[in-house]
Amino acid sequence: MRTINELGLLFSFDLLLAFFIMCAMLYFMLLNFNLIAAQDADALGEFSFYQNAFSFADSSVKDSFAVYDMERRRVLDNVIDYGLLKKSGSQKPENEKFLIGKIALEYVDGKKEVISESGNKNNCSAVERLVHIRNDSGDGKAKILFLMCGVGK
Amino acid sequence: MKRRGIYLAFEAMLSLLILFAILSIPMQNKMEDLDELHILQKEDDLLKAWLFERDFDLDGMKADFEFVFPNSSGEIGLGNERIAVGKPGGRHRETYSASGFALDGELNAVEISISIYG
Repeated sequence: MRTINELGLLFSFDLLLAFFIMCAMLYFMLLNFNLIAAQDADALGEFSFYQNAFSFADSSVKDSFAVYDMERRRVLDNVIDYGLLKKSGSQKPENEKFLIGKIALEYVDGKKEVISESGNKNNCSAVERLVHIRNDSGDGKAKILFLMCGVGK
Repeated sequence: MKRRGIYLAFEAMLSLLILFAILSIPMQNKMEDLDELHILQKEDDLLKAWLFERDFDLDGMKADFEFVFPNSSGEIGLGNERIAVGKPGGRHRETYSASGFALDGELNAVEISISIYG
C-alpha cells in the first residue's frame, strides 16, 4: 500500500504552483506582445497620416503653390501665388490616404479667407504655416491652414 | 532553519518577482507626435519671412511672433539684442530654437534667432 509522504505532497504542490506561475507568465507575455503589436500598428498608422499631412503642407508652401521667380529661375520658398492657390482650391486634390478638408488663409490684419472646403471632416489633422501671399496688389504675410482628413475612416 | 524550506521560499519569491516584473511592463507605449517638427517648421517660416522682407525691426518681429505663436512665449534675438516675446509662462520644460544669418546694409552678417518655450 502506498503512503502519502508529507514532503512529496509539498513538492507536488510546489511543482504545481511553479507550473501555474509559468503558465500565467507565458499567458501575460503573449497578451502583452499582442497588445504592444496592436498599439504599434495603430500608432504607426496615425504617425503615417500626420507625416503625410506635414509633407503635403511643406511641399505646398515650398513647391506646389510657390511663386516661380523668372529672373532667378527658381521657386521662392514660402511665397505663395494667390492665383495658383485659388485654382487648386477648385480642383480639390485627393488621394487614397487623405483628402484636403480645408485650405484657409488668415492675414496679419485678422482677415480670414477660405480657399477650399470639403464636407468630410472625419479624423482630421491641421497644419499651419506662415507664408507670404503674392497677388496683384502685392505681398502680404498670412497663416495658411491645411486641414487634412483621413479617407474612409 | 531547514535548508529545503529556504530553497522553496527563494524559488517562490523568484517566481513571484518574475511575474510582477512581466506584469509591470508598461502596456501603453508613448504616442509619437510631430508637434516639435511643427514648431520648428513655423520658426523656420518666421525666419524666412524676415529674411524675405529684410526689414529687421524688433517690434515688427515681435508682432509676427505673436501672430504665428499666439499662445506661446519665447525670445527673439537680433545680433546682440534679445527680447522676450509672447505670453509670460511658468516653468519651461523645453526650448525649441532656430537661427539664421542675414546681411545688413553694410554687408555684415547678423544672426537672427527664435526660441519657443514648451
